[in-house]
Amino acid sequence: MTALEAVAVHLPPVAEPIELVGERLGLTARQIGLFRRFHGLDQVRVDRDGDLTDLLTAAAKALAQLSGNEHRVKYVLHARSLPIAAPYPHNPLHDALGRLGLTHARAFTITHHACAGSLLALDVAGRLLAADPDPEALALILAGEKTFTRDARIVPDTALFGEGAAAALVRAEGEHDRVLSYAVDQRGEFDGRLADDPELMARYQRSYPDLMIAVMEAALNEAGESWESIRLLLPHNVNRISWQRICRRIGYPPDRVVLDNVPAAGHSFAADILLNHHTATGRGLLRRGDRYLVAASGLGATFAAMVLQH
Amino acid sequence: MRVRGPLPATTLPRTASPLRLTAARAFDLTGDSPLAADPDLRTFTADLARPYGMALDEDALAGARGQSYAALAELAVRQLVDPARPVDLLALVYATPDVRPGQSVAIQLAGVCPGEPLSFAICDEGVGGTFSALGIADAYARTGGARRALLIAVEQADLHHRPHRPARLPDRHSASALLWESGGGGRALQLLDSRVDVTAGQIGEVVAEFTAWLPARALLVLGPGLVDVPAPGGAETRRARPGNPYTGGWAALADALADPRLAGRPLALADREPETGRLDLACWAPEEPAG
Repeated sequence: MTALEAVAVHLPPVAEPIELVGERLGLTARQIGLFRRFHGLDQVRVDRDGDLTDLLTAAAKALAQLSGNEHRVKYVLHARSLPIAAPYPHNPLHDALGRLGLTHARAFTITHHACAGSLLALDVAGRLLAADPDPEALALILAGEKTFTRDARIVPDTALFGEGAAAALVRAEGEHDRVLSYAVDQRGEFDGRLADDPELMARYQRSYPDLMIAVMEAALNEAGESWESIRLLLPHNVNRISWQRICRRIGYPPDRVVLDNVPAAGHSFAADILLNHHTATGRGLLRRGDRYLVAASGLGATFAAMVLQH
Repeated sequence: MRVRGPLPATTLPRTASPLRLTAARAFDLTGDSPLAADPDLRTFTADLARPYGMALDEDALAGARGQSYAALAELAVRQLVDPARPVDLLALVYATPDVRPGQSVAIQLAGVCPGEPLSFAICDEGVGGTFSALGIADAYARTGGARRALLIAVEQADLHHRPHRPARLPDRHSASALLWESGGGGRALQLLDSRVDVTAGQIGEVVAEFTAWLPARALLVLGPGLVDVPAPGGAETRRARPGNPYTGGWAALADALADPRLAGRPLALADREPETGRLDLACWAPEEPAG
């Protein structure tokens, strides 16, 4: 079954305090204070001088297991939140392939699941590899984006975006981090710009916990697991408060939700769950055989969850 | 909601995909979308182009020119999908930006298309994106993830920034869509292959190599990326409209698919994306009798 072979992270060295980010966005002191005290945000990572090609290349180069295995990489998928990320015909993904020695790989961006896109990319990569005649074939998933426009900097009253990036090597069969289930719920009724539409924003915020919980429990049921058997929850990094509320609803211990990167990096688009996987394994929070749940939602809206076995 | 369990490690020995190409449509959409007049388009495009030092195309912005991928794709859904035969998988493919560049159109399509399919978009691969989508649909079918799939390629003709180098742009707003179904009739995908880093000087040689692989009596459609390539010997060829770089090949394939005189012959499409140098080939078997 589909397995994560390795995960690596690139966090740009510049950490901007949210007060500076908020000031640039024209937020009031109260709004910034709410982000810090209520949502648990502290700083966001940005790469002031680099472009998207630099970001993706750095994430892939952080994958030690990629070196020497470039020839095995058949597919490269950029899991991206924004449908457009560079002015046509500029193509940062293919520019990155040139720097990485991967021009032989079939490479495309997979998008329109917003920040839940890395779960979709893992499902697509797994199916391409399962159907590939070469059992040693690998897929490389890249995630990470530039905060180049207001909609890529803030979700009003909810999150501030950062430029953390991640890369993952995927195999059709592996010994660890195997995908046991995937659930995805696409809800077009939440299409629109939340910043301009308070009614839409209120409707989305009201519905969010129920929809998030429903997709997570669907993934648990499909995998034959329960909240009791799940060692860790690796969430998207929108903020702390929304996950604390969900934990109260489902009776799951908040200290088993990996939220370290919320204050440290900001919401890094579709890279969040890979960033949190890297943090969880780096901190020794997962033991071999542990089941864990990854969950994310994307504006538009998509809700997705996956159960994996470490 | 779509839910699935673990995938097999491999589908080998290679099990045949149950999907058959049963229908295809191609069409143009005239006029401009009202979304092209939305001030958000200027804001987004300015923020997108600024780091790359590109200027806005003030004529395109002031003229509110451009078409919506939601409008093009929803028309494709209405033309091809019967509510009695719901779709499991929908892939939207594009290369040039939408007039509402921040919208996740595929999510909208999941709600519009019968079957509430798993819907997503593929981009940043030029004309190769639709060949990737073919491979993805085939992989989903062979791993139990789709019994019916809809692939929609869209292109709209107006950029709202001035590109830093010559770029392929369509001369109209168009869509091409392919419907794949299991359960009788249609054409099986026989061959899906590609060559990478094909330089301009090597194109003719690779097309000739591809042609040699084709089954007897195949009709080969040469996509817009092969407009300058002489027709190879050994197969009957047709050429796609060059003014539709990203949907033209599939539109020519749709024409051939609808021609009853070609029902007993294999159909193939080859195309090259000049930005990546990848040359793709797909070939479908003769039509199987329905039922």
